[in-house]
Amino acid sequence: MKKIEFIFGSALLLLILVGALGILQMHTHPVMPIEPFESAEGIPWRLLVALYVFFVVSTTGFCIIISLGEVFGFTKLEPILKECMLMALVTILVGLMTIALDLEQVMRGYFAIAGHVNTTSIMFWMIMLYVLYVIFLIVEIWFYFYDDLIKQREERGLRGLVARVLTIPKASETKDFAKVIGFVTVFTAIIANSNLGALFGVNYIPLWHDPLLPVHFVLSAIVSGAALSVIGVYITDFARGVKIEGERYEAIQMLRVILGFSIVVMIFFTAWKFVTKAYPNSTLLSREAALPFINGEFAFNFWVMEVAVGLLLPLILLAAPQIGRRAEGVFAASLLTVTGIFFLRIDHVMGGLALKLITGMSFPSPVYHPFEIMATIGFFALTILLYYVVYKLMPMEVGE
Amino acid sequence: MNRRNFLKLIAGFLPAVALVRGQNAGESHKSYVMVVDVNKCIGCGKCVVACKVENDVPMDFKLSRTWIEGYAVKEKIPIEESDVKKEVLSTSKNPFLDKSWIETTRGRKTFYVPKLCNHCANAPCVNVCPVYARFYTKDGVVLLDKETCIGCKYCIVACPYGATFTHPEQKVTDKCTFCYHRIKRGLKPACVLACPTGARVFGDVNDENSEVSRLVKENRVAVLKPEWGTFPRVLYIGLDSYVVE
Amino acid sequence: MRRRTLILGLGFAVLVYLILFFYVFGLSPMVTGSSQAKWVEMELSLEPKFSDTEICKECHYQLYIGMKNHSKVSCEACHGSGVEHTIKRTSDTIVKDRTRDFCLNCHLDVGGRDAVKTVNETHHPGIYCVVCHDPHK
Repeated sequence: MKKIEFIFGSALLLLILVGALGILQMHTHPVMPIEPFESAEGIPWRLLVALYVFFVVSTTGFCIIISLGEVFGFTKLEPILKECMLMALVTILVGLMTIALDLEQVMRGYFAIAGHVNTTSIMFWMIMLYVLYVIFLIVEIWFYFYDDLIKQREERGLRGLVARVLTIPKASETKDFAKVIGFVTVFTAIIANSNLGALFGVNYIPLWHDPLLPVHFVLSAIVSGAALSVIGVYITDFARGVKIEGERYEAIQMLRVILGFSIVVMIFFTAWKFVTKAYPNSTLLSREAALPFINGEFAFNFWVMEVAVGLLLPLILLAAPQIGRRAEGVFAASLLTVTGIFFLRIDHVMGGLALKLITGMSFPSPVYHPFEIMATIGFFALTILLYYVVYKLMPMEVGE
Repeated sequence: MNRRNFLKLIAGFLPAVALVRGQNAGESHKSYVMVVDVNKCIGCGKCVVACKVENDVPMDFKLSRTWIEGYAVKEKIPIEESDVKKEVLSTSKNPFLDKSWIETTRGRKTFYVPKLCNHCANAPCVNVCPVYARFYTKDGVVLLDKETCIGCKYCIVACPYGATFTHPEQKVTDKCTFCYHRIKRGLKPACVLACPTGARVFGDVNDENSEVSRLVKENRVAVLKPEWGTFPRVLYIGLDSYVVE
Repeated sequence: MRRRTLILGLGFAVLVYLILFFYVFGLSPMVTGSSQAKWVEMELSLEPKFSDTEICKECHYQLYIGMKNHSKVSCEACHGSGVEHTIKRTSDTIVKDRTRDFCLNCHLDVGGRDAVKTVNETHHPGIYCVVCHDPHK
């Protein structure tokens, strides 16, 4: 291993350790007895749930991009499909780990798969659909990489071992089978993601009780999938020391178009979501639900991070020809978009619960507990490390 | 039949549908109900303390299975947010005896509303629990299986009344059980026992001779947040719906 | 693509979904039913920590029979949880709070207390209420 890889890997491991420490502290000392964190004690869903939503919607986004390239014939996206597949797998695994560690009783997390089933519970169906999604995604990746894995059997070392374990020497039509399973995977992913949107559709939380919420989730999946694909491809090529040109450049440009278009639709969705809620005679508490975002404690999160940084600035960067035509420009716009999407998740989860005036307790402003921030850093580092490991083990060159 | 009558017919089926799941709406089963008289509650907090002693909730913990909301209202129409002052008693310390509350209630209409889990006939917490840890018993009480609860906190998000919370030591969710272990032995729930003015009355509404049946027959009763279709089992006499959500 | 691949792929997907539905609707109600029944048994086996006025009357009938104003108040509302006292029968297992603040918890003149007689801070400040008013009479 090269020296820089060693340093980078150790830095990531250190961050993962910080995250693990955060998780441990969260479960043993739930609240630091200093303000403002003490007021957030009774709030059920905080930063980790927002992080989970972020990961899970990202994986749906990756799946949609993959299916656009593989199943629906956007052939320009083909050179980057392998990276997107690995990123989809890594993000769903880390996402499921995030929510499993947020449970109060982590050791009982498997109960829903072990027979304790409530069919009217949307959260139960979410668990089941994501388990199915992981199964289908793994099968799709296995068959997509099959031909290249056969070629890797002859190599020595860990890569050859992985390839020999995963394949038998004679097989055919695996790419077509992968295409069929790809269709099934994206079908499951979209159902699961819109199910997650419906999970938030709890009756009496006005910010969430919106029949368009499942659609909004799938739309933000497209945005975050396109943006994260650009980021992933750019960083991968940067780490390999390769300049982006040729086919991969064309793929980035295609992603630029998809990202720009979906950001425009997202702007309309966001604008109308808040206008209909802030309207004077809108339903019970709707107005009070929307006001924290317009000029209340969540105003900075909403106007600056979510709208300006997340939607408007990337759109300008993508539309401007001098910036949008360069891969670096699309990368910068995608970074801004992903930041905006992350704050969208925080606003959605914590902003929705901000109005929960139960027993006289509410937390009007977004509170980020230090242990949660540590855990978030750890999970991001884990994603990068897992992606790096899987990238090194799998055959990544575009097959003949 | 026109559209309005058709909708009324469908709406009439809803309680029946809600009650069928896991429950037996027949005459042979009890149907426990609590009637709370807001006119009699004085905000002393003995119910909160008694509940915490009976059910192993830490005394100084900020939340409780039952709590009291005190309202001081300036009478004005239309009423604005600043005209309603609310204070909550859910620990062993009684904020209704503080100087600030006494100052606030001067010249305002004041009343105390004891709240608890409503054991809804169509409970959102039962519907959303992913592992079926909350279930109905045959007499209408909603119980919580702490051995199965995984602590996902979806029930805390889904309850419109804020009746459930995370237990700080047991690391699962917790809520009022109508003191199931007491009522099955013929005793009264701890909060009903401790109330000095008799504001809380508990009993079987299927039994015509019980106190709750008499109260329901003789008074106008209301429930909290009926618009969410939860069909709660805690009935209030003297509730000011203009003010109390 | 060959028809065989399509059928194999979709067949695999349908098979996985069918296994899911069979598990959810077929296998799991047994698990939930038994765990719920076990919990109901557990709930019923908990020991109460408050007894009842009937039990207190068995030993302290004289105190009970004299009460006029506080007769509707249960003994344990003021004296705390009584089960330990019925077993040990010592004076330190029951609460006897004679302070002024304890009486004012119910009888202080804050707003909204029409159901009890209330009294102001200015009514003999600093003196214990029980000096003049016996709650058991």
